[in-house]
Amino acid sequence: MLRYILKRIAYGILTLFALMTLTFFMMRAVPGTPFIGDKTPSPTTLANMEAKYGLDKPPIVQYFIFVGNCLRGDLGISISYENRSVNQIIADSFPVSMELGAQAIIFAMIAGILLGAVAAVKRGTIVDSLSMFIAIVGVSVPSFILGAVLQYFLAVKLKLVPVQGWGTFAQTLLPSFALGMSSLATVSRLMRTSMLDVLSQDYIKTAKAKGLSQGKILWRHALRNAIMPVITIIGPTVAAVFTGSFVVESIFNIPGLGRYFVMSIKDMDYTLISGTTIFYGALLILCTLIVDLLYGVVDPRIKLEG
Amino acid sequence: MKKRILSLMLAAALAVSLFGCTDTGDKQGDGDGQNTNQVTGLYPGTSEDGAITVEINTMTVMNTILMTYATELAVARHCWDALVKLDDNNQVIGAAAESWESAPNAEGVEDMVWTFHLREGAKWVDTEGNVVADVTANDFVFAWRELLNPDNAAEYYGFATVFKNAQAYYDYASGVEGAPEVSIEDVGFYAQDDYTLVVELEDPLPYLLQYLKFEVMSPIYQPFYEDVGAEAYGTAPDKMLYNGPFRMTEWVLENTITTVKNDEWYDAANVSLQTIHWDKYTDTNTKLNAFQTGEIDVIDITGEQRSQFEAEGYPVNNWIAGYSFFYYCNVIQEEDLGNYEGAKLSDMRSLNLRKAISYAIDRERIISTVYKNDNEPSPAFSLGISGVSAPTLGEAVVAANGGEPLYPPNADATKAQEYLALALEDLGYTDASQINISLLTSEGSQNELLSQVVQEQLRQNLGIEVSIDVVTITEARARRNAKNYDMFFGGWGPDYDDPMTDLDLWTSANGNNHTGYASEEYDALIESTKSESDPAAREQLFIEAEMMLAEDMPIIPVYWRHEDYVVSEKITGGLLRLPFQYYNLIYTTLAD
Amino acid sequence: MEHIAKERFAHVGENARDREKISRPSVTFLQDAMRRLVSNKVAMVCVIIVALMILFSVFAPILSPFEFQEQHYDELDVGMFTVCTDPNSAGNGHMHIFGTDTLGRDLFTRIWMGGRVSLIIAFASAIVDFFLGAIYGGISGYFGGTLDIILMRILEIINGIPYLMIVILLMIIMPPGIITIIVAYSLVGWIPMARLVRGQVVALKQQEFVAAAEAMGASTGRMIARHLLPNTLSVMIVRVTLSIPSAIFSEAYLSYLGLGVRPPECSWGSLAQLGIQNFRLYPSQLIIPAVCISLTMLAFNLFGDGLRDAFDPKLRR
Repeated sequence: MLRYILKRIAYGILTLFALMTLTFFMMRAVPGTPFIGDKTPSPTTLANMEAKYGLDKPPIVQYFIFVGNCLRGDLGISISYENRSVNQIIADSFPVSMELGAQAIIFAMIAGILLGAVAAVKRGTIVDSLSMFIAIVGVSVPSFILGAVLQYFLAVKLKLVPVQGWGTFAQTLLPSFALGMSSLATVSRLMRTSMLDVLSQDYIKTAKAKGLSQGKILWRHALRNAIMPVITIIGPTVAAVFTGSFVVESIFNIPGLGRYFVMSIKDMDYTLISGTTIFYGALLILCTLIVDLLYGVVDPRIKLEG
Repeated sequence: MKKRILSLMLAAALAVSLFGCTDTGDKQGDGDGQNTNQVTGLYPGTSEDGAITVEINTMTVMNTILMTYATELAVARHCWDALVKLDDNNQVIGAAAESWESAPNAEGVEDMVWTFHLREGAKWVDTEGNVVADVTANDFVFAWRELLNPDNAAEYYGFATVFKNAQAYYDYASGVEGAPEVSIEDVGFYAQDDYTLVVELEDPLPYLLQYLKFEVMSPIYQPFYEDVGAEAYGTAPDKMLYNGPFRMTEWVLENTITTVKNDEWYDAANVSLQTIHWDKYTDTNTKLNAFQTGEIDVIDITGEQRSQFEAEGYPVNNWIAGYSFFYYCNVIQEEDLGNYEGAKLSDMRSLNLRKAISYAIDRERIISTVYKNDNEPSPAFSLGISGVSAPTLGEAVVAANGGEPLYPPNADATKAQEYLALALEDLGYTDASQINISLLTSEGSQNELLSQVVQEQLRQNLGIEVSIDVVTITEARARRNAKNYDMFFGGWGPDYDDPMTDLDLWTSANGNNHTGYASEEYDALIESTKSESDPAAREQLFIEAEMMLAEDMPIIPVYWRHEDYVVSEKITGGLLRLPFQYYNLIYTTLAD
Repeated sequence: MEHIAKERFAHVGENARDREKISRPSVTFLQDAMRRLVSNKVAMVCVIIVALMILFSVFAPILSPFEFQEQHYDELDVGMFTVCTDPNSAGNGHMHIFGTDTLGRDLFTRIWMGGRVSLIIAFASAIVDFFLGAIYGGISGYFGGTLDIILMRILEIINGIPYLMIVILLMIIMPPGIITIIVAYSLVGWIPMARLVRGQVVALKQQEFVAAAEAMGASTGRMIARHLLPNTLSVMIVRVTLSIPSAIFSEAYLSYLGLGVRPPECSWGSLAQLGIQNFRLYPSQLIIPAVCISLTMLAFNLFGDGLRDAFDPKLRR
């Protein structure tokens, strides 16, 4: 088990390295420079700016400096937020995104698994239809429409929650809901499908024949096996929630990391782009690892081999 | 059974969608309709006592020498006093300096040496309001030297190059090849004593005070700056010292800044406002919602939102920041193409085609469809600059043109066609369909809408098909600077209150002239304004320059931007928004 | 017990083949699935909705009296069912069925032009996802070992790169438009499918019937085609129905960020994005594209359910 984890971590680092290289050279291939705004600085100033960020050196030299800094955990100084380290920007904004993302995922997972399981068990009843209806709304309405419409009705018209901001618990409700809704839908649909599969398996019939109680069957045998496919999508769900958070963060004015992604790409802030990309990549790799480990824990049939 | 329920659900999903539709419509009509005649109490604003929340956009850095955005300068105006500042009529008044006088230099040229007498007893305070030190002339000398320090790569270093030897020093320090050695001590500013600052100019500069007012020229307290380090200074409230009417207490990047009244400021007795929150919004719906629920007091609004407020009878305010919007045209001629690396030979090189396009676009319709607000069809290029013979330069230009705008507000298809015929001859084409123009458009729904409207107008009034090329803003700028485009829509805002800030742009050597326009006469005309000391005669020269621009048409001006904003009823007065003063909230008063 | 007359029996003869003949017509897997799909009314309604969406998207812009980029200056933001007053069509009785947008363009025509773009993006991406994911995941899961590790590493590298970055880079490198979005979406969209297929195959491989087939000497191709894929199909179909909404979603999401299709082209996402800016003033400009998006999603989802029930080998019999 330990050997497996170590091996996975080693692969993760390799992946990160490839990602770093790819990001670096792809960014340099894109036309435009971050230093030209509406107004163009004088050639001397432009040269000074490039020197300040080490962009005056040949790309291959820049690359080795960049890799060296990354290895030391230094993601560099942001270009658009002058003099501010990327580490600091991530440290300040990621906890907010994480809180938002975690709330959204917890909401989506718990509600999704419950809805999906209930829908499967009560297949064909009004409960099934209702839960599938929620799932369909979640899948069918883009978060920017859902967020804007919820905000207008719940915050402006009914004044139940604040319109925007981040700080009080009330302020986190709408964004978590808007962000988690589409994942909830995915989870509940998958859960329903998988639960139906499991319920038709022979061992469930065996358990029933043995006279186990309905609750015990569902809890001990069905749920645990049905959660399997859901766990495989935790990784992608985390990814979806974090990229999706840009829209939600901008609708609800939340100072999270999501908005820096798109903004840094639009501003061509090389250091912030590579910094956030590497950070994001590392996060995803970690999530996948955890998911695979969980997979082994939940399904004893799968052995984690080193 | 199951099937029936699913069908029901299908119907329910549809019904909810439709219900959502009528609901939106109804609430709009009913809920707001009741308040039509009753303005008071509609939007009482934020609830925090003595505090207001205003909208502000981009905030990247708070080290004054590194600032570039008007929004950053707006906050800087509240946190730091430069030597002078602008009052509520945009007139220069003393800030850190109480008085000043000018004298001739050694060669006897008038107004070349200026002495500023600083306000004694002004204090530097930290984020908590503790007094750290006195504000002295050395703080200005230090800040300006840092502005000229190539390591900082300050974009607005140019403001310090009006001082004697400053440009030479900057070039030398930047390692420009062949630049002679110049010491920082030789640059034309020094502290005669703690409260006397002397500056010597490189060239005569009638608008020096406009330069010194610029927030980038604010002082910096050297010991503190060196303590926190150049990299960290200005990145957090506790990494700056303040000498202005407010001090910063909180800064969440890309989200909010809080400034609190500085009791040590010399005129603090007249400041009634305790706190200003500067909040950033990226979504216009959210902004409007926040205003309506009392989470913000001042917001900029879109044309559509304006009509909503007008329907409610709520007052909408309007101001001009001085932004003039126009199409850059790539006018490089075939024989000059070799001088520009990567430049494109564009059909826009034909003056007659540019004129045809200027006549074919309908500026008023552009405004009423794309912007739906008070934007003004450009009568001339330069906006927001004070005039001599008239209140503004723009009015002076129109008056000189016999009361007519230089660019028609409405399309004139007949004239456009006449010029098009000439353009076809210029370009050696037989048919209008051979004209190949693309509108370089930076992404953003308003830019894209504009391009589509212009495309349609050119199709209708000129019979030519232009394409639209949408790219990211950085790529658009790169292509603009490389002159690899036909037409690119852009805006220009003045940095200081003198026509030079706008009209210098189109001289051949200007780094912001991306059109390839290089007219010796225009260059000479702008050069001649530098030696003209009579304000009226000097203005006349700038008017001539405007007319020459309209004649040679390297740019096609489209509109002058007017910005709409609403203010909650919490604010009763003292809120200023003027050219060069994006916000001036220092003397804002609140309802009890 | 009832007496059965002897005459009702007949001798079938010596032919061994006829002796074992099953007189009931044989039903293939596909025929059986189709039969059950056709009898599912909800799924059929959804097929009709999707078909209508496609029909309208193909023909409405052709039949409409208005061009989708034609601007009527005097008819900005008019409501639904407004008779056109533009000099070019006045008196013809032409109507803006869905009203016009902020530039005075006929929304009905634009919605169906947008439908073309959105549906093309959705179908193209779903097809690419399906095949790429099935092949990649199937190979990786079936062969396992070093190949699996290598394939999963490659997958993780691609998955680690934020989607937006790929899109923006491609937008700049390739000419902006529908193809770019499809390529960009497909580059990352197949990953969840590949993961899912791999996960399923890995789990199935350890089940008894696979071991039995292996023991009986089934070839690799037969194993994948007859045993592994059909048993993975139900989950794959759920995934592919979800990948159609997610393609339309991604397109809408990119539009919201200003990275969607470029003018003059429009899509449901870009129409919704324009509509949302003024949805309090002109709600129909948001609701119409939003309903189109949602209805299409709904149809695909329910149709997917029907397909799932029809294809599921466990529900056969």
